[in-house]
Amino acid sequence: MARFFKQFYLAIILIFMYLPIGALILFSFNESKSMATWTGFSTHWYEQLFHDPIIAEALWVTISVALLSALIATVIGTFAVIGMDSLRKKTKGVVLNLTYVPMVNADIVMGISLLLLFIFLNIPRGYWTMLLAHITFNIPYVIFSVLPKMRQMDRSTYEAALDMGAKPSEAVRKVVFPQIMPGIVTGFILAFTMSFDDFMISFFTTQGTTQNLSIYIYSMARVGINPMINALSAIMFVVVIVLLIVVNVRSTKKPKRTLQREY
Amino acid sequence: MKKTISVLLAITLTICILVSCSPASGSGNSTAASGGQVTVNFLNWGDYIDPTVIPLFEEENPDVKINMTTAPSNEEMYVSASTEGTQIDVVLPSEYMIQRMMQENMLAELDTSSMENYQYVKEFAQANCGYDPNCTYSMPYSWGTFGIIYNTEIVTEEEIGWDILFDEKYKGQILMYDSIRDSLGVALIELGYSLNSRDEAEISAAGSLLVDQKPLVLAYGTDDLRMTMSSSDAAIPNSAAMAVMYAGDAVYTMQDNDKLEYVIPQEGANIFVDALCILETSDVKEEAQRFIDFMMRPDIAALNAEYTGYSTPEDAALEYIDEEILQNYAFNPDKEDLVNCEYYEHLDQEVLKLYEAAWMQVKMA
Repeated sequence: MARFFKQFYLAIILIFMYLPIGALILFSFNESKSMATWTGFSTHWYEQLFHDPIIAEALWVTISVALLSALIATVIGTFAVIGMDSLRKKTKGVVLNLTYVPMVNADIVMGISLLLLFIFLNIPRGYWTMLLAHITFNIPYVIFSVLPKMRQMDRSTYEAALDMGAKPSEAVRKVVFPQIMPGIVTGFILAFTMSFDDFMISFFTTQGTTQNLSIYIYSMARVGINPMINALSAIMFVVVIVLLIVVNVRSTKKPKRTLQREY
Repeated sequence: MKKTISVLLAITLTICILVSCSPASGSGNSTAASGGQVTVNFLNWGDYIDPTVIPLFEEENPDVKINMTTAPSNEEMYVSASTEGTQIDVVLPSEYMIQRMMQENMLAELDTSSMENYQYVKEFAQANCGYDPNCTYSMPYSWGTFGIIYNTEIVTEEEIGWDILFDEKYKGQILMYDSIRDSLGVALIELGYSLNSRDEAEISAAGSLLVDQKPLVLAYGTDDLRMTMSSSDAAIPNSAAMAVMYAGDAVYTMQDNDKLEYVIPQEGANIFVDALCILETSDVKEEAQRFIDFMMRPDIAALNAEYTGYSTPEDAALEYIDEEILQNYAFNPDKEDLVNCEYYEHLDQEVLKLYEAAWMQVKMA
């Protein structure tokens, strides 16, 4: 009986999480524009999707901004953590708390303050200001992903490397990086996702000259969401699932390999 | 070895991205003419233009690039267009926002004498656009009404007016529109007042009418009303029977369910116009005007009308439009039925407060 409830509970949770996505994928194959009545199987929303230059451009902006901002934020964030590690305890605390603020701050405050800054500096809003904004809000996520790994790391390994004649840059590259790598990868992925679905900050920092996918989808609200968006979301969902499976398969194999290498 | 490869891959990827996104960045700098090409920034509504139209324009006008972005509402469009240093050139506001922008001198004058396709819009503008009858600042792009969509198998009355929404017979089968001016507007017309009433007693009477009506209402909604209505069925007890809806939404809903009809009640209803305007701050006015003129060309207007489901102001465009859509009353209503229709006027903050207070009562009831 207890077993039954355990499984039932799990099933309920999974249904709540995946049923909406299932409905979304199902209706991306619907023939009519309706999201309520099923009128027949069709792939023409997919055809339309691939012939829509507006969506293509928005998707391109979203992906390129997400990749670039995640990459740059990962580099900046990682070095920030390495630097913070050798600060005095008090200063470190101050810096850490300052890093928290942008994370807990409401998106709209960040969006408006960046907009005001760009207006003040007279920078025309567009692709590059959106990229800058995304890098800015991504850095804290990277920092807080890498930081725990840095704490776990034994400082003496770095010092040992120096004792054995490694230059500091070599020691960072060959000793520190491999140990904090999982944190860096997590940070990158987190930053990528954060950037991918950001609406608020993107909206304020582009001001109608460039748009990413979330701005475009939101703006459809006035005339109703087009099922092309269902098709696009279905494709993105499948890609993410495949990526997840690949990552999981890799990481279940991994422990063996690292053991062999380390001995 | 493996690591070196992955590092190399990462670097190549970054370079690829950096190189290939530089053209996209060009769109950020509004008027920077690269290679003699001028960029016109066009702020549209989402999904409100046939996707083939802009490429067509760019093909015919190789010196102009249209950079289109989208806004979700008039209010957000206004914010983007009025922020200092805005780079937007062309906008597509509704009539009440056009009036406000005209008052604030935000719109540039159009030179209609040099616009080849102005002749097709002229008649509609003079008859229907009291705020700007000669298209000095705005070129009508699409228009529509706000009426009732109903299931002919459930609602069998000959003459349908706004009072059907207050009929006890349809208790629990009526869908109302969840928007302050639209819902209070319905009640104001039902009471015989103007949609743009500024009178405190009238507005609060409209609010009370909606409070009294609430037990009859199945739900208040916006986009979701389309879904509920498209699954309306006389065979299901207490199925939704009618909803107040914008004509453009009604066109699509009627395609999903052939039992549905759309009506503009004789007492009058809201009519709206979305029109293309150039911002005073634009420095590519000539190119922007060429773009607007292109959008007015009857074949292009027809493409957009068919794609969006919203009516076109040009009679000349109708011959290019599919017969089936033309016969849809929501898309192409009789012009006589529009006689009592009214535009929303821009209301002062103080009057809006009265509306908000009445609306709060309805929502809390």
